[in-house]
Amino acid sequence: MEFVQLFVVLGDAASSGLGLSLGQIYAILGAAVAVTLAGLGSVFGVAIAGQSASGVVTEDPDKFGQALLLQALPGTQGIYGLLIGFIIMNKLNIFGGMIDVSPETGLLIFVSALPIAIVGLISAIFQGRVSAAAIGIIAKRPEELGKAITFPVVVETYAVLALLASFLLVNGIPV
Amino acid sequence: MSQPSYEYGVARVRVLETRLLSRDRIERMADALSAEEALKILAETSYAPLVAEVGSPYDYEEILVREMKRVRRFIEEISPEPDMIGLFFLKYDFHNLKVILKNKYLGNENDDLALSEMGTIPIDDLKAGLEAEDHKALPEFITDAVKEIEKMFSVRVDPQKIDIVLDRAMYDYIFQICRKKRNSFATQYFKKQADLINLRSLLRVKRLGEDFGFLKELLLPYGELDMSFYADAMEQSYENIISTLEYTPYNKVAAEGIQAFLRSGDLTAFERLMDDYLLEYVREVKHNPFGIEAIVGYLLGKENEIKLIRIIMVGKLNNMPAEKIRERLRDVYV
Repeated sequence: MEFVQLFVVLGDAASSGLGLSLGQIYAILGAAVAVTLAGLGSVFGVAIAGQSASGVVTEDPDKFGQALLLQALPGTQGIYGLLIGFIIMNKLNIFGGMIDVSPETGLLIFVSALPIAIVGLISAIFQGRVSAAAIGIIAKRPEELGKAITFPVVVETYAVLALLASFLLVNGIPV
Repeated sequence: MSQPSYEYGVARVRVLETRLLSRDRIERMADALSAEEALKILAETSYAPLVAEVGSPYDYEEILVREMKRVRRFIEEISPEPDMIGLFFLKYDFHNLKVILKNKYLGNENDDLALSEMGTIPIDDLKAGLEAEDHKALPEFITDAVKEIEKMFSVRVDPQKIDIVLDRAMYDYIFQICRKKRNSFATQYFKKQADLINLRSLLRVKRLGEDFGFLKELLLPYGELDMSFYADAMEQSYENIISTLEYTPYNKVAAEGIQAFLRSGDLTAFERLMDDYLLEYVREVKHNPFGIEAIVGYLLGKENEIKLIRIIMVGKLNNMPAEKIRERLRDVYV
């Protein structure tokens, strides 16, 4: 309900002559959601894995490299979110005098950003948990880094699929 | 975050688990020619600094006590829920309580050597708390139990009651915390422990030839096996008890433990099987990276390791042959 109200407010803002059209606002909102939610997911993910990594490095500083690698895996969702956000900004030509888009197109762009925003948020958190568990593998068997990385990478698959969907959708919308 | 998280603590434990003594090294220690040589093998492990400080094999107990204290401090440091992990150290507090109260009522003095420094309450605080009026400084669950004993003993002094009242108080508190924290692992662990302790009580009471009324007073009401099982078991033969327990998780403990009990007449083997069973249970569940399991597993592993070293050192200092030591180790180390 509140989300719907947000659109009403945005509509008012657009009609009150701030110089932005409703379509532009929707599209920018899409970019913001992709960067924010996917980024937050990565924040949680790397924080969970980072605690495990710190635990291992406290006892065995030689495992820093391997632990860092596993900690960084949930960080990719944030990058994917930024990528989609950037493509949207580019589409709007935001850096060189914004082009106008219709409200329908703006809304489409917003919806296109949702796959990476939502899947990125959730997959990064869970990937962080898997990474934390995988750091337990290298704590005991540093030679099994390859196997340890595989488990969090399986979670990554679905973030990549969401990125692909968002990318194709944003690209496919004519402006 | 003010407290470290389980993610952090468990990861530290995972590294330290690899530094627990391997079976191989334990056997090399058992095969060593002398106590000095056994200590030298111990010096190649994470015990190196302690061995260097203490030096003499006759002071092995000092090494073990210091190592256990270090483990205790470490576990306290990495545990995000101190009252949860504290449950696993409560047995030392209650051991101390029993020793102090028995000294008081039976009049033995100078039994301080039997006190353990592993409890959650320092020994001096415990003693001071017991002496002070109303024992206000002690936690409520201890105060209540001690008051109950004092009230009972104002009528008639019966040292056996100390064990009964304190064991009950300990498990009451443990399950109260488990319920509050909704920790399913700890609940399961202590449930199993209560069952095994009840089975041990059953064997003891059966051998004493007492009736179910006597056993009932000893049973902890927290296990999976219910009162009717024990009531029936009091009437049945040992073979029947073993077959009744065949489809419970305790089949191995019951079969092997009861047979050893019948052979030797003592409960040492049964108690060893109890410890093994709980150790095995924790081993199965300790893969959870976000919970207390791995930390408890490390604690139990360390307790077991110290038991093994003690057996070896006692054996070596008494010139026991290596096969004999290995035989005794097999009793502890499956």
